[in-house]
Amino acid sequence: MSAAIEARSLTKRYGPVTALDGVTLSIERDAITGLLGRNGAGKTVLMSLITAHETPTSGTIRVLGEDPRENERVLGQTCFVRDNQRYPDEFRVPHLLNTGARFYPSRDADLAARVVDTFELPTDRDIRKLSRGQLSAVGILVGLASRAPLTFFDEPYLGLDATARMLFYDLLLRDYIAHPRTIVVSTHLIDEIEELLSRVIVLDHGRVREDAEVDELRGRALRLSGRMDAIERVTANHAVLHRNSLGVLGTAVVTATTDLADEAAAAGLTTEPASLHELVAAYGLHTKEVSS
Amino acid sequence: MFDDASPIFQQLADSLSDDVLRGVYAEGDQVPSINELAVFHRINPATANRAVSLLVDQGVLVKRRGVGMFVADGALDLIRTARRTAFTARFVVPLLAEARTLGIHPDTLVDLLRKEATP
Amino acid sequence: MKRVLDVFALHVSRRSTTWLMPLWLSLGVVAVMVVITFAMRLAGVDTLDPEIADGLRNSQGILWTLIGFLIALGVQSSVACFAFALALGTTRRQYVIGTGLYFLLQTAYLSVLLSLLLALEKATNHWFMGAHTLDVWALGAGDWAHFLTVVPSGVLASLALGALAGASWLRFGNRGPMIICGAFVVLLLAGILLVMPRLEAFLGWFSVLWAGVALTVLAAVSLAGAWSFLSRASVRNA
Repeated sequence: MSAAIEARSLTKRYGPVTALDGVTLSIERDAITGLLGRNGAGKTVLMSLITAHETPTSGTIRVLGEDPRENERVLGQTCFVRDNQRYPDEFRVPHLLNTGARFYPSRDADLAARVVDTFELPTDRDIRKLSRGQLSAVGILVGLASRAPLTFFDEPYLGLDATARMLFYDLLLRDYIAHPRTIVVSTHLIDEIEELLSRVIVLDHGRVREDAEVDELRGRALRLSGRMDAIERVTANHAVLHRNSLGVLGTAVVTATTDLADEAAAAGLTTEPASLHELVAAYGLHTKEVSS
Repeated sequence: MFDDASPIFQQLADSLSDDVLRGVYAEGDQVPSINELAVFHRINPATANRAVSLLVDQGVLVKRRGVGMFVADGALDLIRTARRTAFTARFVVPLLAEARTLGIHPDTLVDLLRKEATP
Repeated sequence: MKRVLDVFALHVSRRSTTWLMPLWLSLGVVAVMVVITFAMRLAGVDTLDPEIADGLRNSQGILWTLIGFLIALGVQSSVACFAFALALGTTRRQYVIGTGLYFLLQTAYLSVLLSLLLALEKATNHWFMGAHTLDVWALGAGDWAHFLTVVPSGVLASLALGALAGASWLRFGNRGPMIICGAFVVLLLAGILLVMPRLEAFLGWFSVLWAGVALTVLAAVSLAGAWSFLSRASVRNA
């Protein structure tokens, strides 16, 4: 595995707010990596630092082995369209098609046409007049058709209905298979996209909580259900990520260990693997009590 | 198609084995390529690769360089044997557990089995 | 280098802003002056009288209007394309140079437009009614050498100042342009305080060439300032 991106103790502060706190991670080349976490976890900030849209407060970031800041060679291979991307005035979809072709040698006109077609993007309107979903489709158009060796998608599905999202996943997967490149997708809609990912980085309040392969992460936590007192007993010495109680019953998401499943079964609790979605949500909620 | 219960590559491998077991792919037949599997199931090609590699290691599939993946000779027996070994843990134990919860005696269970088995 | 040209092309692809706005601007500014002169004639002023014509040559309305609009154009150009260019992996240096090239294009275009209009004005005896639009003291009173020195350098300086203001906004938010204005006022005051006591000497030394050079230097300094602001500007604000 060779790393396309490496961060070491990366920190970014905006005045009193620490958006990223000592983040150390590496992103694999030519893989689809998911950046998971709640809103405000630091996903967009991380991608901004990687693409030199922002400068770190401290720490280092290396893209293709180099500092990306004002680095023509490295940045020319990146494409990062944000979820609230601003486009030049007067711009319409045809402008984007031309601009994309110019800025990226790798860019494919057929793919671009297919994206426009798939999402039924209007070509006669100023981009700033498009709906939220259409705006996301435009972002997908720019990002996907660029075929940039390092492509970043920042919550690319906002405003897209379920069908459109499936179309996006299909387009993404097919093109990635045909033209492998490093792709990073930030999302909080984990269920739908987890199967497309090979690796996952979970951010929580500016820190890395997980950096692992998807399969490894899926086995990371268990969901125990049953009597709350039994749960408390069994999980006394374990890392409980989240508790949820309803009267005497309840559930808990707990970091898995080899003996936990057996102990839980012995205590009459039901044990199931926690989904990735639950795991990530549990990190966000920490161990707050949520009574329904 | 895939749930949270186990790694996706495992589920895909099981699914392909099922197909061989049920005769969808006969021994010697070509199975879809890794990329085709990835696109069809909407999963990462690395995952599809893991599933196929697993089956190759088990001897269920064989790779012919430059041509593709094929069902190996003897794959059917291999899968049947493995499934038979797992049969008890996968089906019999849960069946007995549920029966116990419902207060169904193992002898009654046998009668139920016999009744269902006769066409 | 290629990416610099791509940024240039990005700006130019905004066709209406690039080709129509300067045209409307030039024509508009001339038209307004003509209308005002026409009103004066209606009020009984004989605008064709040489003495009155001389007075009309002092008008500076056009100058300030042009400068104002050009600064606005500079702001718009620097801000409008920044976020998108960076999304496509452009460095700030490439962006500033590409935008600078775009300004050169705008300067050439406007210079041609205004020159054509001046020629037209002279040929029609000031729009048939003594309306001094571009034949004014500030622009050389019809002298081509003066005009062609001041206009291109002035246009470029205005655009660059706009870019500086725009970049300061990208860097500091709303505080940015206020800081620029403040600095400008301070510098202007300092300049006036320096020049006034030595006005005679200054006027003797002053020449159009120096004005052209000064404006070009101002343009270069503004662009450098814009680059410095953009270096630390985060893309979020755009």
